[in-house]
Amino acid sequence: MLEFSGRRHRMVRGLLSPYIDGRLSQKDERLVDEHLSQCAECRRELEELRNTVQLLQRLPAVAPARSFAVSESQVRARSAETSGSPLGTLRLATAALVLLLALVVAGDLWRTSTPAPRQAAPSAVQASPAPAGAAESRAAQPPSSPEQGVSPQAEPRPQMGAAKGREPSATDQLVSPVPSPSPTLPQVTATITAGEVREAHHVLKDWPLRQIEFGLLGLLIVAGAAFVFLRRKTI
Amino acid sequence: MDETDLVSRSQRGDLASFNQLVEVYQAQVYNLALRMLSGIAEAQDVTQETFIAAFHAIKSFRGGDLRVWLLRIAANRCRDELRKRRRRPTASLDAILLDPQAPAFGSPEPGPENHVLRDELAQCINRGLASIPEDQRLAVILSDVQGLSYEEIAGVMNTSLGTVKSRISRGRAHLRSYLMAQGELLPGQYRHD
Repeated sequence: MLEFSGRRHRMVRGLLSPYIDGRLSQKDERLVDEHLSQCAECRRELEELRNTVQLLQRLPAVAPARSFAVSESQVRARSAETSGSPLGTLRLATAALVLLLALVVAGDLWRTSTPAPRQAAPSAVQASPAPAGAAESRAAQPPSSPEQGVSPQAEPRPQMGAAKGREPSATDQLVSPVPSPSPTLPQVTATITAGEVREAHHVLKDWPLRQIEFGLLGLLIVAGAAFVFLRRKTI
Repeated sequence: MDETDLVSRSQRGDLASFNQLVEVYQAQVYNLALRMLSGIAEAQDVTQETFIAAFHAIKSFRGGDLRVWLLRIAANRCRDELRKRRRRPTASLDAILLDPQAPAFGSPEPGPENHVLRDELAQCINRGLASIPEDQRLAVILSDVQGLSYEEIAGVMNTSLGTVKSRISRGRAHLRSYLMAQGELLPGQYRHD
């Protein structure tokens, strides 16, 4: 019971300031009124707070000794100051970063949309047990031009039926140089292996651009945040 | 010409119109700076900087309460000045001079004794204000000296109503403790002996 009243006492003390300003809800106001009728300490504190507010309200306004009208020269000086401020530099830096990021992203898109060089593919296939899977994977990505899709230079395995749109058949598995215990398992393994090889190829080929993109994006976020912060600070 | 017209003209770069707005609000901005910084020279500098910055930024003013907008700029400038002062501390509390033409303070009767009492009390209150944390001081000055509503204070301080309420409450409690400790300076009706 004592603990409850101590807690209420502390709570009411925290409400005395908005109570003076009439900013309490009806419920809180009733709570404060009720407590004040029983607590002399809070009544005294309320009176002291009221006196403090009255003293502040009666603090005389000080008349400025001079006018603060803005002159043309002050405006010019400020303009010159602002043009050399970090805000202007940041604005330029942000614009440059956006442009650079756009260029890098465009370059990256161009690289990924053009067919990957296949020099690595034959060796991968030679080392890989699954040429059929590689062909199937290529079949899933239709060529952008007929020349690209069937060119012997671009396609080192013209014997693969799947590369020309045919579903891989059980006979495709026979082409695989690695014998396998079951007819379905080698196909899955081969697909993954070829996919992995190609994926690794792409990742290795692209990682510097991705790094640059993320780096630029990070810098852009930092520059944008600094710009917003400085602008708010200036105003 | 009303305030809206003056603002529109100022936004088109008319300095004369802007300076009419300066005449209207300079006392309020100056008093906020003076109470926040407790130094005449710093308060004058901050007030001037506030109006120069306001003229440059007035194009971004999207209507609403111009007084709140100007006081927000002034409050930000005061914070910058206090930050600088923390790096280079210079005590200037005692440099405050009160306007001798200001209305009686602490006692309704005029006279030389009351004038001295008024000055001493004002100095005491200024010291008390300077002793409370910056955000609480700003909230208390805006509320009790400048007479702004909680909503207007939230606009100046760019914070929520709950935070404003809490800062005013804690600021007043600090100031109350300070003034009670200086009991002998307080006019009779404010003393508890």
